[in-house]
Amino acid sequence: MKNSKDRKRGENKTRTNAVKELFYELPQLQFDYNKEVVIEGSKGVLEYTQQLIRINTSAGLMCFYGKSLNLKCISSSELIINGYIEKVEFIA
Amino acid sequence: MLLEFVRWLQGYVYFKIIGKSPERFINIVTKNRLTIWNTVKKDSTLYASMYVRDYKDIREFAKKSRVRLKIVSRHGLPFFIKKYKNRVGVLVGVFVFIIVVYIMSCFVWTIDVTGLETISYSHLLSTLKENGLYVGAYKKNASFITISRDTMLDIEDIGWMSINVIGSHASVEIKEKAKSPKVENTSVPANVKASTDGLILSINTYQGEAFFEEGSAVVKDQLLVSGVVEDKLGGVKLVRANAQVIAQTTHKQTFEVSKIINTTGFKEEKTRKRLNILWLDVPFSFAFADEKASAMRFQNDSLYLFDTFLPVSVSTQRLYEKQYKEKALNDKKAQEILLTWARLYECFNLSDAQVKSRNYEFFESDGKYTLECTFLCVEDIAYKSEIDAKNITIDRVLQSEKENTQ
Repeated sequence: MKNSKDRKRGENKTRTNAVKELFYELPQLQFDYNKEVVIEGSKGVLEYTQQLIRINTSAGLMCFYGKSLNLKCISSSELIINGYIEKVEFIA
Repeated sequence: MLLEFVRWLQGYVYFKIIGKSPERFINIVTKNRLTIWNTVKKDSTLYASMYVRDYKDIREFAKKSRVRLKIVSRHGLPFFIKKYKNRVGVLVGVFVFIIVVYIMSCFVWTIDVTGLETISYSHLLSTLKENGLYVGAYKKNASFITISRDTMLDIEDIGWMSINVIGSHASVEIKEKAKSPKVENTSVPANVKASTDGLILSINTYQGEAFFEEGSAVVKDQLLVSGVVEDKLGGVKLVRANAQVIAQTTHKQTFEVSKIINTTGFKEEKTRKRLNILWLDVPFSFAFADEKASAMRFQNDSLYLFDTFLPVSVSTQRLYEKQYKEKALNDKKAQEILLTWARLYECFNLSDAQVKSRNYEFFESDGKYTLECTFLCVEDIAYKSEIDAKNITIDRVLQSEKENTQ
């Protein structure tokens, strides 16, 4: 009985850890309609033009297509894109 | 807004990144935990802003990513200071300005009082000054609750008071006490007597026993209505007599003025001006007070800007010397003066009476002019004279005892 309980506890722990890892590692996006987007968990800017901004994240690449796109603010893991976002593409 | 201000304080540069891969440069910069913002790409050039302290460290990263950096513009306080580094006067001026503004904001500039009805404005201001609130008072040391409490103790007519200080402006709000009306003590027995000689035209007795009828002539202090009345059982009762006694009265008054009168005039001797800035009092001249001066006039002109009185004023002090002159009066002038006095007498002394006719007799005698005035009036001559109740009752008791013994 004891062994089976311990096993269950162990399984639950590994599950929660996996969820936490997933949650923290996945980039978080916060849109202000199509005018602005805040991206947490970026790993670098790959391409930057006024029509396309490609961002590298832990989950893959993210492409923001639009017009007059600007990087409003950049730090080591966060960035803000503003402009007129027309399309978002996720490349896993 | 706050972020922009912080950036301005720390100083930042707006620069352009020229090269094939400006994205790589951005990534290196951000990996090294340096903040970059306001990045705009125009054609093949990338523009961005960065703190000036960080910009000094990114030359190395530019080399790594094979881009060239060029400053477009510099913003913020460090550049402002650098710009005016050689102009010490400007910097000192700015510093002095800030200090002066700070110091001036520590004092009360203006005092505004609302809610005064019967209390004198100058009396209130002087009491406030005694208690610690005046133009130029140091705000941080003043306890406005204590000041208002002390002022209320000093001026009894104040029912409620509040001092609100907004910036350098002190607003004093006051509610005066509602004075209780004089209530006649109706429990004390009284007689009604005549206040002056006269001929009774009508008598309305509300309480008491009337001794006179219409058409009777009475003299001053004569008893008109008695407060001692007999009740139904034949006993004596003391009441507060009350009546309206309308009578025709005559008032005589004589006014005299000598033919040569002494007039007093004032001649301006000296004018002294002073500049007042808050508590500071700077005289324009060092003239001392003239002992001959017998009168002084004080005028204060404050600076008024944008609907506000500023604590800068020029006070002018004018000293006058009294001059005595003898002036001879002619008949016309003397009559004019005496008639004015007669009118004033009528206004102030006969205000309760209805003046039916006036008779003036003007004559000259022994170096003076005389005006004899006779006013024929109709007025209420009744006034109450309180009865010493203890003595009356004892007298009456003794009298009734005598009657019983007989």
